[in-house]
Amino acid sequence: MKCRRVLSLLESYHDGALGRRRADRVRAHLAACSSCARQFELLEKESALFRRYMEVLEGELRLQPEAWDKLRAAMGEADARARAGRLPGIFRRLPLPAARQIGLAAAVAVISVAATLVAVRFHPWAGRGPAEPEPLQSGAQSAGTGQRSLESALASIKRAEQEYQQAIRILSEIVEKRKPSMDAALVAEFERNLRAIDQAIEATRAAYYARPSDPDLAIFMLAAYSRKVELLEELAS
Amino acid sequence: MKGRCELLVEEAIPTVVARARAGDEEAYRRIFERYYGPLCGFAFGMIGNRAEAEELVQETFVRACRKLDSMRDDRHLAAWLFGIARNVVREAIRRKAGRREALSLEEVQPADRRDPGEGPDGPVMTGELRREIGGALASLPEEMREVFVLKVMSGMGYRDISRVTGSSVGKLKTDLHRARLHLRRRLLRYMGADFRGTGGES
Repeated sequence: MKCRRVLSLLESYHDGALGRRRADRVRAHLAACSSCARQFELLEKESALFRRYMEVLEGELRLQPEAWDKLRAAMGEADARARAGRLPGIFRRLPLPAARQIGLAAAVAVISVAATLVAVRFHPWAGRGPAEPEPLQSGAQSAGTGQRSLESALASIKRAEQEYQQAIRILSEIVEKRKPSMDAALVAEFERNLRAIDQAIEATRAAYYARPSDPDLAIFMLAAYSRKVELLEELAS
Repeated sequence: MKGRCELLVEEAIPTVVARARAGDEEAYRRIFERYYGPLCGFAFGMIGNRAEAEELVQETFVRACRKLDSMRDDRHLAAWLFGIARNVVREAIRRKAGRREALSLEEVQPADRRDPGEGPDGPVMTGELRREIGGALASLPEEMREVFVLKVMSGMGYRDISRVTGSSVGKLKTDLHRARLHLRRRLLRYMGADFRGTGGES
């Protein structure tokens, strides 16, 4: 095998992507040709540099103790939708929050909000709903319907937000009463998580009210409220 | 999947996935704990921001949990997870592009400012070098960056990368070659004196 051919195969050889026969021929050439062997060595050094970079990154990005809890909190939104009977898989089987133990009003609000989330997510206005055929309309009729549809969605979101706020008030009162009898470390952990969620609510709320016609922003805001309800439910139970 | 991405013992993967699919939270947690680091490394390599990488990996696991029932071959769990992470990362990049926030050198920051020093057999990874590598990666076109991060940095095989990206192995090799040339030119002065005579070509 000539140097030029070997050099064209060098990366594939280095990456272990050559067949055995060709790899053997490249290997034999490298053993006999110091110039090509030098190129191969440089390629290995270069790869080692990037692998080292990745190792350092992975060392620093290693799993933090709270990562699983954060993931579970993030799954809260999907869990709410699963409870509405839409999602398959693990969410449906994870333990349900103890909503029934914390007062009818809060539970009703939570269920109502979960339903609203689903409705918002799959409302035709959101542009990603199930493909139900719609009757043909003239342009003016269509525009009028679209406007009513948007107003109706905005009203649902407002209602959902109020219901979440109501649920949060009720749950917060229960949690405050229970706090003195709870483990201090647990309370501190929950409070840290609550602060993070409150920041998320603040940020997503500001974004949504700046652009209320963006359904994704509405969903993010309601999801942030949902996470707070989930966390409070956990503490309350 | 070979190399550093072989994360659970090969024969244990279908069992753990089956348990997770049946609602065993502990099994899903095992998958999460095992794949969190490599996925974060991939997301960071692609996006260049630690907090965002962690958020994207969280989103990856939320989606993966939801789609667990739809995984076709449990043996390819890692490739499947990386495939979801790839989509999540691409969406984030599109959002940034939509907001005209192209990945910039300023944004590409070390995950941590601490200098880890020299490992027993690795090159010295100074803060400056890390910023330069991050900046060089950010300057790669997205598809090249993807294959480079998966192949060279994550140690994934071509077949698995092909599963993750949907590209042919031939295209992956071409993209990887171009990525290497690009990075070599950008990082020549950090590769050591030996590289200076190569003109950026191997």
